[in-house]
Order: sequence, then structure tokens, then C-alpha cells
Amino acid sequence: MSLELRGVSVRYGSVTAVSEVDLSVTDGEVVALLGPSGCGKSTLLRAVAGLERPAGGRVDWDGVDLAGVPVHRRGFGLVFQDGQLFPHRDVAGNVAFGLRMRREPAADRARRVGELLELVGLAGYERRRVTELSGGEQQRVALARALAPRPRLLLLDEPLSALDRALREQLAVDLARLLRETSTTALVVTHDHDEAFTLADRVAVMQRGRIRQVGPPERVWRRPADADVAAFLGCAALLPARVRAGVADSALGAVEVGAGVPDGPVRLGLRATALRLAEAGPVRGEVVQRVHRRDHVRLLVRLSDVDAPSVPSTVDAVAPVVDAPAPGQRVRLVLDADGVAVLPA
Amino acid sequence: MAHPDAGLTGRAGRAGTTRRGGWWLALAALPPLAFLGVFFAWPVLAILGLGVRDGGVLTALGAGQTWRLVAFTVGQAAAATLVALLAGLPVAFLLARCAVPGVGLVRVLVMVPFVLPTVVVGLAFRALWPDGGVLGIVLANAFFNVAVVARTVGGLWAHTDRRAEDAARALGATRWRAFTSVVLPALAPAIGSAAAVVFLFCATSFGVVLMLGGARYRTLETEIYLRTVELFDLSGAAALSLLQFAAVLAALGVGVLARRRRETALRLRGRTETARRPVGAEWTVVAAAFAVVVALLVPVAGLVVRSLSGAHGWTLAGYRALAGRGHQNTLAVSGVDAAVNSLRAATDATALALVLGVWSAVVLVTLGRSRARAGLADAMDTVLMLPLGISAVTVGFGYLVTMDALPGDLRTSPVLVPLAQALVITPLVVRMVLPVLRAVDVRLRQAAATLGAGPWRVWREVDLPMAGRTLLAAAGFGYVVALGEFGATSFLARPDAPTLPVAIGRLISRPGELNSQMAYAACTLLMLVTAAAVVLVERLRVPRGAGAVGEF
Repeated sequence: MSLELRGVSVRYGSVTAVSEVDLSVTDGEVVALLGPSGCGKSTLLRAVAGLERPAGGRVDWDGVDLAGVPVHRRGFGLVFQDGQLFPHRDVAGNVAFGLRMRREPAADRARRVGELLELVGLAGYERRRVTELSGGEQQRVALARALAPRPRLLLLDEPLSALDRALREQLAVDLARLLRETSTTALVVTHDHDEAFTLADRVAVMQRGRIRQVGPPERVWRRPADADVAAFLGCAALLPARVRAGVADSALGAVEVGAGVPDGPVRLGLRATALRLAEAGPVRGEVVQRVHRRDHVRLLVRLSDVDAPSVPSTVDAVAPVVDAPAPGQRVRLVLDADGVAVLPA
Repeated sequence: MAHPDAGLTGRAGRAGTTRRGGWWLALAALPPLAFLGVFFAWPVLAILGLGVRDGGVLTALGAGQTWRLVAFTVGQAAAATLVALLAGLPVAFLLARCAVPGVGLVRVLVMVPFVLPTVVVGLAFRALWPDGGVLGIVLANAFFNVAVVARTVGGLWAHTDRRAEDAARALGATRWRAFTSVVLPALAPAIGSAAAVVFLFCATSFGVVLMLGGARYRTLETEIYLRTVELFDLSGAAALSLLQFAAVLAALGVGVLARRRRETALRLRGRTETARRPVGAEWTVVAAAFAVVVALLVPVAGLVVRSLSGAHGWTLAGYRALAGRGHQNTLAVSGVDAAVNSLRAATDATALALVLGVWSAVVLVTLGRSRARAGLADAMDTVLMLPLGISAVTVGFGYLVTMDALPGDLRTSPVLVPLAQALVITPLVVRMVLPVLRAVDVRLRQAAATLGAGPWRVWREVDLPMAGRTLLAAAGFGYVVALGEFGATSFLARPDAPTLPVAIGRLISRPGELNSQMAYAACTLLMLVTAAAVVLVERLRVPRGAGAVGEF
């Protein structure tokens, strides 16, 4: 019960959308394909579904090549960004569609539809018209529809991107729970880190048609493989440093990077939250700009006494909302381990 | 080419599975093309062949009279197209952008002229201008086609984003400036394709010109008829058919180009977002639109009045006479029998056209979905539209020349009329069904496939149910057009089994007050059936596609 991609490439004419991707998804695992739009992640998903023919490589399920298996015989569920519910059928008709294709008896279908609507939090919605549902409800129905025939693998193409932010966060948590509870094997395509990290057991970062890094969310977040991945994961600046006994020493001071990082030279990836306001911080500077965010204040700070070419002249920093310094004010900053990623030198 | 992964639509535009089905597609395209080959290409080519063999084609092409005919045909068609555009655009605006009471009614009323039998329209305009003339011909041809402009342009207009216009206004453009610089360019494809179709219809219009022009004003189409039927000048007729054929191909080509631009260039939205209450100067346009509608009703009303008036005031004599065979037995059968013939032939023709039309549309959509074959799809599309533009007279006469070669000698068979009518209405069915099938999101079909539906099952479960209402509407529409078909039917219907339009044509060509009363009464009945069918079609219209009768 596992998906195995080996050297998969997809080409549109002269454009290579996906090149030589290796990836595996094991039984019950949720893997997220994370990348900027246009990186080829959706194309890869469509190749797995059988909607695109790979120009090269193999897509295997349990060691069997799927090349000759048409879409409708693969037994893979697919959820699109915008649901793509059948507008001429009601909610039950949509959810039961896959069961009907498998010729399950009507009584079993009705029971399974009830079960799934319960699972996605839409119990009793059977007879509703899908055109009357909100975006979030539509997406839940799409999910129920894909899960109903018990797919061997669930493919989700930006499943939450069309929803507004509050709903997206709520549904991401629901979806994560649901995938665990039903121990569904799934491949999720997303451009949103939060979504990927909420849903996935492993994250595959994809850029320009290639997979750049695969690993558990926490590891990918803390230890990006290279500068490109780090930039995509929000590290605006890189800073040379030297690690000794789990502590990295840099021009902006020392920061704990954990025992997993071997001693030696590294680069620190600085996210917007890498520096925070501190009374006795080692870094001095002057506030240039101040922007209020939901639960903190973001500052742009011009550094005063650091004068190394490897250090940026201005950095991002965060401060608490209360008593945030105004532009022109002098401040002191300290590195915060939570906002720092570690890259090979 | 855009980067394939640049947007969802770009990504969804292709389906890997269709690439394998090349052979199946080719096979699937055969039946409709075979039908066209046997019942269209062969008769037409046979007629052309006859003419070419006689060797008079070059003489005819060289004759000054031929080119005067061409000039008159093109001139009256261009004038009628212009009138139809001028009258149709305000109506399109009303239908697309205005939330005022009565829009629904206008939608129906505008459609009625388009499906009226040509003899009926000819008769209606003769009632208004007894001595015919160029003006009558131009106005009558325009009268038919206001609906095409209003619906084609209105359909697009209703679905174009209003915000581009709002943005232009916010940037300081006057309402008129915003219209000419933003709206008009956006509508250009629809206007272009509507104009091409209207021009085509006007250039090949038969019944109207025959009735209003008499012997004085002749177009290529009526001249082909006169030469084949009355003068037996086949080479002359063939030469004229060749000319017409070339013109039709050109007009269809323009239509295809315009359509392609329209389909790729636009982001469409629902009608509710774009319709609102008119303000300021917009009311002038609305008033103009209503004036057009009233003008469209005048000939129709004139016809009804004529059917009810006799030498001594109001009478129902015309209607009563329908039970009989007219003054001095002008008809071989009673008016009622002719009506029954009409209904039967139209039913058969509609059934056949639905099968052929849906089949063709499915093949066209499938071809169109794979980019490699888009050119092939365009070619087949054009071929399917050809019967719309080829002289019905040529086709009808071609049947008489060729159909004895088929088993059972179809020339004397009653199936010939429905076959010819099916040929005329199949393109209309294709034009109505095609946009709906094209509008089905590829990803919806893919969703069905991932849920276990095979290719055939996807058509049955997704496309056809979604096009269901349009299919019914196409059936209703095709039915009324078949009911009113005159050009080919007048050729093929046996004297002892005329359809109603053919009977009307015969009645008015013979003297006798009873005959003309009867003709007007029959026209009124045809009109009522037509109007009822149009109302039905409107009811069935898919809510989303509030636009065109088809895309034309």
C-alpha cells in the first residue's frame, strides 16, 4: 500500500514542468508537496492521478507500474481547489457518486453517505443542493465525495486555497484530524507552509519542477537544504556563523540551534522573527519603520555598530504591541532561536 | 504559450487520457460526416457537376448580369446586416445589462421573427409594402436577424465583467467613451461573429426575396431557383452556386475566427452581477430597444389582422377554409392535412438532427480539448455549418438528381423532406449544444474519472445531464425551424403531401380572396406554434447560459 515515484518527468511541448522527481508515500502517511505557484507540484499530482502522462519515469503502486492504468481504475481520490461538485446532483448524489460507479447497493450507499457527512461535520445535508452551500461546505462535500469509495490514495490539490483565512485555518485542523482518524494515505499540494505543516507527516519542497528537500515538517522548517528553500520558507537574509556545542555564534550574537547540528561553519537563515527587542541585547540599531501586525509589531531596524560585509545593514525585528518603539528610536536586539533556521555553509 | 503551470485554467486545459483516443475519435467523427457526405455534399456536387459538364460556367461567370446579381445580393445582405446590427445592439444592451420589467418578454418576442417561416415573413412584409421593392427586402431580412445580433452580442455582454467599464469611468472616461474604448472592443468578437452569420443568412435568404422581389429584384439564391426550375439553365445555376459557395466559405471563416477569439479572450461571469437599473442616458438606449421590439411586432400584427379581415369586415373565413383545399381546390390536400404533414416531417427531422447534432458536438468538444487537434475541430465545425449557407434550392435540386441512386429511390419517398430539414437544423443544434458542452469544466469530468467513471460513463453522468435542458431547448428550436423550412421543402415535398409553408406558398401564388385569407390564417397558426415553442425554449434555458440561442 504505497506510492513510489521514480524519475518522473512531465513535459508540455518544450517546457519541462516536472523533472526527474523521486518520492514515496507509505501506507497511512500524509505527504505535502510544498512550493511556489508554477513550480510543477500540481502537474506532478495530476501525473499521479493519471490525468497527465509522464514523459519519463515510473509511477508505481505497490511495485506495479501504473502507466497503463486509466484514471478511473486507479482508485485514487482527488479533491480540487474549488471542489468541482456536480451541480446537477444534491449533496448525497455527489458523495455517493464513486460508490455508484462501484455498483454498491443503494442501502450501503446511503449508510456510507451518512457516515461521511457526519465525519466532515455536515450531518443531515444529504438533500441540500450543492450550489447553495458556502465555499467551506462545498469543500467538505468534495472531501466526503473523494473519501466515500475508500480510495487507496487521496490526492488534494490546494484543497483550502480558495477559502478565506479564518475558515482555512479551521478546516486545515479538521482535515488533519480527519486524515489521521481515517488513516488515509494522502498527497497534498499546497503553496502555504502552515497548511503543509498542519497536514503532513513529511513535506517535500518543490521548486522549478524539482524536489529540493524531503523531510518531517519540523526538520524542513529548521534545517532548509539550501538558500532557495530557505528563501521560500521565509528566511529573508542569510548570516554566516560557527556552531559549537549546539550554539551558533554570529556577528549578531549567539543563538541556540540544538544539539542535532554538528560543530563547524553554517549559515543562519533569518526569518522576520529572528531578532526581537531586548533590554540587554547585543545588537544596537535605530528603528526605521514600524508596522502593526495582529499580535506583535514588526520593525525595520538599521544596525549601528555592525560593519561586516556579510551582515545586512537593515534587519527585520519584532516587538511586543505594548510600548513598541517609534521610528527614530534607538533599540537593542537579540537573536531568537524560533526565528532562525540553520543551513549548510 | 503561457507557462503550463501558471494558472489553474492553464493546467486544466488538457487531459492526458484523450491523447490515446485518436482512432476512436476519427471513427466517431464518421457518422455525421457520412450523413453530410451523402445528403449534402453529393447532391450539391452532382448539381455543380451537371453545370460544369455543360460548359457554360465560364460564360455565366463572364456575363455582366451575373455580377449585377452578385452586387445586388451582397449589397442587400450588407444593408440588411447593418440594419440588423443597429437594431440589435440596443436590444442586446437591454437583455444583457438592464434590470427593468419586461426584459423576459422582450427576450421571447425578439426570438419569434427568427424562427418564423420565411414565407410568413415574406407575406407579412407584402402586407405592409404591397409593391415589394429593395427596402422591403432589406427590412425583411433584417427583421429575421435582429434576434441573432441581440442574442449573440447580448449573451457575451451579459457575461463580461462590468468592472472594466467601471474602472474606465473611475479613470475619467465619459459613459460614451467607456463604451467605445472598453465595452465595444470586448464585444467585438460577438459582433463580428453575429455579423458574419447574419450576412450569411441574408445573402442566401430565399423565401423572402422570392416573395418581395418578384421578377424584378433577384439574388443569387432566387436566380439559382429560377434557372434550375423554370429555365433549366443548369450551367448558369452551377456557376452561381459556385460563387455562392465561395462567399459562404469566406463568411464562415470569419465566423470561426471571431468565435475563437471570443472563447479564449474572456473571463465570463454570471448575469446577475452585470444587470442593473439603467441610469441617465441609458434610458434612451432602453427606449430605442423597446422601439425596435415594437417595430418587430408590426409585421406580425399586420399578418394577424390580415388573416381576420375580409372584403366585408372581420371574418374567420380564412381559418374555416383551412379544413378545405382552398379556392377551386388550389391545394391537393386540405390545410389541416398539410399541417399534419408539417408536424410529422418536423418531428422526424428534429429527432434525426438531435442525434446528429449531439454526436457532432461531442466529437467537436473532444477534438477541441486536445490542443493538437484544435485545428481539426475548427475544420469539422466549419464543414458542419456549411448546410446553413448553401442554397437550399441547390440541395433540394441535387436530391432530385442523385437520390435515385440510393436503394429504394428516395426521390419519391416521403423521408426526403425530413432528411433535408434535418440537414438545415443540425447546424443549429450543434451551435446550441456545443457551448454548453464546452463550458463543462474539464476538472469536473476529471473528478468523475477519479471516482471511477470510465470515459463513456463521464459523458453519461456529467456532460449530458448538464446539457439536458439545452438539449430540450435545441429540440424545440429545431422543431420550429423545421416547421417553417421552405427552400428545400418546396423542392422536395410531393404535390400530394405539401407541408404548411409549401401550401402557403402555393395559396398566395394563386388568385382568389379565399386563398389569401387562408394563407394568412395558416401563417398565423404557424406563428402561434412558433411563439409557443419559443416560450418553451426560453423556459428550458439553462440558467447559466442566459445568453445566446447558441454561439453562432
